[in-house]
Amino acid sequence: MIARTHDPFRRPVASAGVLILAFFAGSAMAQSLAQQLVGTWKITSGVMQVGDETKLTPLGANIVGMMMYTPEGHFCFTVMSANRPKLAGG
Amino acid sequence: MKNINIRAATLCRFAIATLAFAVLATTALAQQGNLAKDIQGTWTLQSIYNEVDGKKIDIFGPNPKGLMMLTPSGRFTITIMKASLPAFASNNRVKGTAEENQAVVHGSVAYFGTYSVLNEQEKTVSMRIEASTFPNYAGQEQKRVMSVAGDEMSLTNPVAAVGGTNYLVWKRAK
Repeated sequence: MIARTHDPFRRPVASAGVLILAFFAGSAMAQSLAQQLVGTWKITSGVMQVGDETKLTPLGANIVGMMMYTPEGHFCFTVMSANRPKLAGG
Repeated sequence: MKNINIRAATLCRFAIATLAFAVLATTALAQQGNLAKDIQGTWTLQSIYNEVDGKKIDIFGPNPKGLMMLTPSGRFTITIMKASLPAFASNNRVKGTAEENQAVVHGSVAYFGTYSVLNEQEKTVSMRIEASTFPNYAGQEQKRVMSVAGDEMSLTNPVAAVGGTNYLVWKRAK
């Protein structure tokens, strides 16, 4: 599961544009899948399906992650186990 | 006639006040948050090197790959890696040999969190790191120096994960 962080990666737009955006934002159905993905997302859970079995991923149950999709089509995805031991040399 | 003159004078005064306010507001807006605006967006890595005691080290090899995103709402992610990390023979991310695992750890780093401009004049930005592939970074608040000229950003990291200072150049992604 990935949850939106309530801060879409949007450039400031002119006030006329805000009205149009707000109008369309009122109906999620009017948005394409690409438009719905745009923004910053935090991972809340992650599992994998192996046959009929649902298992934890190798990252375990306690994971932290961030995903961003920009309107221009760039993305990043970072996910890791939380609370990994520090490197003693660091 | 007198009434019209008073009205005209009032109108004139009002116009001057409005103009003065507009000029002040624009100036204030221009002074506040220039750096924050300049650094927002998606950046691709052009170069990175580390310097310890005056010695330059090419930590991520030739043509390093990197992406940095800074959102207007104050979130960031940074991912940097070598251009050619060796593929795992097992073709499974968690079944690398000791050498393969070490090559990935040495050749890549990723972290994310929230950021804010510390000082506009000094071009300092505070990075509050929520999580990092280098676990020692997690929970830390670190300082970066970011200066933007056109589509290029010079970034200095005085607390590099390999010691010393990192010098990076980013290009705004199109």
